[in-house]
Amino acid sequence: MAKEVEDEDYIDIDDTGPEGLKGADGGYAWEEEYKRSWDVIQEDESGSLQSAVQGIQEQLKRKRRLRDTTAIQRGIIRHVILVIDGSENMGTRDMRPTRIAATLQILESFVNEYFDQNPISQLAIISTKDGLAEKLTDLSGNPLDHVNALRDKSNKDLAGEPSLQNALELAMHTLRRAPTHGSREIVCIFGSLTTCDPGDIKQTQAALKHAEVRVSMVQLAAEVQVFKRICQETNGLFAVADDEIHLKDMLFECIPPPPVVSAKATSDMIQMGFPIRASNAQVPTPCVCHHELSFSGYICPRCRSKVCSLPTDCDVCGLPLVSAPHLARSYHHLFPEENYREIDVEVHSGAEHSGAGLVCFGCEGEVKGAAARYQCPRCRKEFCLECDVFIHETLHNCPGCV
Amino acid sequence: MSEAAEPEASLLVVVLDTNTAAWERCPLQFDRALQQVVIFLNAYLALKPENKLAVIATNKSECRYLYPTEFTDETTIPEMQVYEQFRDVDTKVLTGVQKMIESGSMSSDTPAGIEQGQSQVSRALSKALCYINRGTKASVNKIWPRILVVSVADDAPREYIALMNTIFAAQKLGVLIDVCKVVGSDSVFLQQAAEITGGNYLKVDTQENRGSLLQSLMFTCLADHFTRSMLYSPHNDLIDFRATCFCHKRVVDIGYVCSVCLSIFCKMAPVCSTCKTKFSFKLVRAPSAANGTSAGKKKPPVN
Ligand SMILES: [Zn+2]
Ligand SMILES: [Zn+2]
Ligand SMILES: [Zn+2]
Ligand SMILES: [Zn+2]
Ligand SMILES: [Zn+2]
Repeated sequence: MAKEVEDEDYIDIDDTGPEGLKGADGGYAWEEEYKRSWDVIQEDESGSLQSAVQGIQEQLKRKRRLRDTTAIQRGIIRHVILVIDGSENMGTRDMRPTRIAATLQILESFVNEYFDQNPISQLAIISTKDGLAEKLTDLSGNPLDHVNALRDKSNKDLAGEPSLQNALELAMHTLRRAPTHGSREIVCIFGSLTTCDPGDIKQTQAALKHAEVRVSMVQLAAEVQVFKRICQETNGLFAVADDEIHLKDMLFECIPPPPVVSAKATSDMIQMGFPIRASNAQVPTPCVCHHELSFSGYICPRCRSKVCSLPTDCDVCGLPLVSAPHLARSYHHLFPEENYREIDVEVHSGAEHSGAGLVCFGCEGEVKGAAARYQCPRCRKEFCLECDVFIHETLHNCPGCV
Repeated sequence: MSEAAEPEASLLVVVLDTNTAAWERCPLQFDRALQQVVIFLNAYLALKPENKLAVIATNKSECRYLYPTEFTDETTIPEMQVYEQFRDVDTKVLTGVQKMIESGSMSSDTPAGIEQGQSQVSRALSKALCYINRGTKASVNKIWPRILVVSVADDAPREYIALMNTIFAAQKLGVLIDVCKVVGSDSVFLQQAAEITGGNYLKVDTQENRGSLLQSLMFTCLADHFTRSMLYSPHNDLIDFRATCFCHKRVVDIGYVCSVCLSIFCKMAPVCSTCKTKFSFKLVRAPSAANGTSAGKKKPPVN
């Protein structure tokens, strides 16, 4: 049984021969539908999870391919507007428990990851239902604001049809006061196949293009030509998500800062405050962000008011407040680690590596004879697949080069 | 991070700084210190049979795993009095350090920019995180990872970005970084590492009491994630994350940040001295907070 599972789901993406690309049903790999990874996890008769492990290996490999590490100027300071479809279509139960519940949950981790990777960027959330668009949060650099707004129960009250045009117009209006050195982006999650618009959406599309706003969309049902065109025209991404995992993958592609292509983009000096920690006071004092009493917090260097977390904008004087590590968190986008080269095991096994495994330079783990190994083009050290993915996804340091 | 429950095992990676130039400045002799570290490792392994350990040594020219390694010293006869794993750790760590010092005295392939009293801490931490990443993924049961850095060397400014990257990666993996600084001035970089990851930073005063390294290790760095919630940790109230400007290395309260490369300056300038970008001559202030979240519920023109 294990054998069957393996044959069906094992798609060797590195096999370039036409036969290697064929799946078990004789079709090509890309003709197969996106597989739910938990369907693959099945024990074989000995009770081991061999095939599951293989599936994970394949997933890792796929991740490896998606990386883009070209050293180009990236918009580190971003302004992203999330547009959530709040129409009745989002009540469909093809995601668990419903589309809207799954979306909101994924968006929560999206918000956290977004601010983790873009600590000095801003975000706003817009919801559209009943032909109207409504701002849930205004542009802000504080992840807590957005997470709290997403947790609001009323988000699950679905109504009528969405209006993409109203949502985009409102988003554009919000982005109008964003400074020119930052990127302007809109990310939509739409379950509905229709949109109820007051005017011609082509005009909105032209306006978006003119303002150099990048629109991306993840559709939960099917491809819609109008939506796709807007994304293409504005250099955004368009994808149709089949399930929750796919939705998350697609959304998370919007997290790394996009390259700067705009001719209008300017560079500026941005004034920022680096607050000191409030000294341990004898009496608790209220913070300006939540009006709650606390002993700790950070003092805005301009107006001396106390905020409770960084990064944020001072609620009193509006100064962006960050700490030096927040800036350091973005450095890896500016100096990306080069992709490792996959080493042809055939060539290797001939000479000195005959049969014997190689020791990964990162984790000191053994890379077994036939398993793929990856070499850093700069320091020429070799790594296992696990370390390669970890180094480029999370660590952003080559252990051999630093 | 979820709460640690009692019966779960830990995965500890010790980064041992064996920079001889720096140890010479230390009143505590290196071999005595090493002895104390080995006692600590044994104590850690004795706490729970499932506890996992790795030891990485670093100096100014190299960085290598001391334990676990494939190599076994055939010459030593198993002593009946000593628990097998203790003996294995002890000999590997001690002979490994010895080898490193021997090869270190002749090798000259030190990377550019590293001075006599500095070590490759960011490389050691990068390796440690690779090890932990693999170890936690391979483990069937939940395992709580942490790192202990026994540091003697000075901060190397060229390591700043790499070190910050490792700190954020550690934070993401839920790895605590404990730091024991044995000699020299406080390490600003490692203080941040401990602070951001939720570990402890300790400056060991070896001048006062020759045994205090072991004491500090035992009292502050032995406790696992679960026990730590019940202990007072040595607090460093004074760590501040204020930035220093790139132009004068002065601490700044309100700085000006280049929107392209994020360099920090204390004054406005027409050109960024780091990335050579020309700035448009207008100072950008953040939009006023007055039109904040609550005021933002405008409705767009609708049919
Ligand atoms: Zn607050
Ligand atoms: Zn203020
Ligand atoms: Zn590895
Ligand atoms: Zn490298
Ligand atoms: Zn610059």
